[in-house]
Amino acid sequence: MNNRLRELRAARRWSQADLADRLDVSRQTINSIENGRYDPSLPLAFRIAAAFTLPIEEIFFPSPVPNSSPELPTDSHHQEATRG
Amino acid sequence: MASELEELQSSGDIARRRAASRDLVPGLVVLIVSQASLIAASPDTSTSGWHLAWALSPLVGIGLLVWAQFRMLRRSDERERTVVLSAMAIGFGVVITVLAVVGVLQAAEIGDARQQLQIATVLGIAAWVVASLVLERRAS
Repeated sequence: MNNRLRELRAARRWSQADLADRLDVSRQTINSIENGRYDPSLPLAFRIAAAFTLPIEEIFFPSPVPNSSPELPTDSHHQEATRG
Repeated sequence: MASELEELQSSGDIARRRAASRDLVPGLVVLIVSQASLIAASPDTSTSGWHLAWALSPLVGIGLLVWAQFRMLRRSDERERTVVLSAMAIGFGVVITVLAVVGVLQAAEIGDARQQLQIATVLGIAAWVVASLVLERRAS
């Protein structure tokens, strides 16, 4: 899973420690999420979204799957969702 | 500047670390004092109930350390908890494997069982600590 955490945090001029305190997690956890080494649980993802006052899907999005078939239901669903 | 900020610990991290240190100190002190008194006096556990209680006194320190670890785990966030519990699972696997080896050695009447059990304990704790460090490094 990819995310825009670093970009959003930088836009608000928050340090990793600031964001960690807002979310009540360790700074290393913020670093791991930003680097894509740790995918947060759904409750933590909701807390992150609330901290940035954005919907989850504007912060987290799935990694591109190599050689994915367009006939797959998940892909068609994703395309419909992105079209709005 | 951003990289400097990213190196700082959050106030929550500092508070959690201080709380963990506060929790660990009593257990460590009790364990060290009880072990030192056992080594210095070397009581014969077979002579009286008092000596048996004295010989079991390190269990108080170990119990306090386990309680401190439990509190530390409850204060951790979800990623830290995953790391600690994964490392514990690896340590547990090492202990089970070494105990199986100890069982085979004792069936063949090779070596001192007491020493081998102590080695199993030390290896399990060492595996837990090393696994914690490796998993933490890989996750950050």
